[in-house]
Amino acid sequence: MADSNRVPNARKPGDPGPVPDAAPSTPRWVIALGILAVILIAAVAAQLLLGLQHGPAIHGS
Amino acid sequence: MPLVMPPALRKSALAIHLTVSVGWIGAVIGYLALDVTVTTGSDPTVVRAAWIAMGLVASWAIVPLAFGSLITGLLMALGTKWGLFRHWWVLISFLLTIGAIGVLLSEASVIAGSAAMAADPATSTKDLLAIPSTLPHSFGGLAVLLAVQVLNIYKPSGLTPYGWRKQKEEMARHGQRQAGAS
Repeated sequence: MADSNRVPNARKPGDPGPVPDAAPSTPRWVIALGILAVILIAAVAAQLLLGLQHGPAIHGS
Repeated sequence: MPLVMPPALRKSALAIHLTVSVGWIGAVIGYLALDVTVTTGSDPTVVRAAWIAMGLVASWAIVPLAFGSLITGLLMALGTKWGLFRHWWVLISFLLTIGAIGVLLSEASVIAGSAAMAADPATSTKDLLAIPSTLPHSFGGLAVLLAVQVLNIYKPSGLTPYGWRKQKEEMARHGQRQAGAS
């Protein structure tokens, strides 16, 4: 197994890492999670708008 | 500059944070087992007992552990170099935790109501077996908690624009101090 201490630029625990010179672009994984969140919120909103029961109300009857 | 905790205090806070956060996941898995039981079970005695246990687990384990995880997580973020808004993985973990707690609190009263109904001897077997389960929320909640756990373990790189600006400012201040000292 590779020794992480020997890897150049390896991050130690608790070390946030170097600061890039230029303003960083949004990472792809953040964009992917954002798209997933928007889809989920839209699905829940569509359920509510269409009158389908969702959330605690579904248990109320 | 963020307030950085001394190493001994940071380790203690991290130990507490890990304990309550993993405990939260464990409590949800235990709750999920009971939720599957009330969804698939047909024995009224077992279903009644499972609903009562679900009420107790939600009130006395899941909700306290959720708030414990949020509070210790905030301490870890604000008391270390990571900060709360500087790194995407910290910010997204925080937002997912807030979302999970919001849904949990809205469900907690429903679970308490269902548990009270199940505990009532006057509730008929038909009504008992007709109490809707909370299975979709249980699976959804577990998925969110596992996503937060993965983010916290892998700590994917990526500074937010705010984090980048703050770290640039700190580096500039550090450079000025060094120049002034020499």
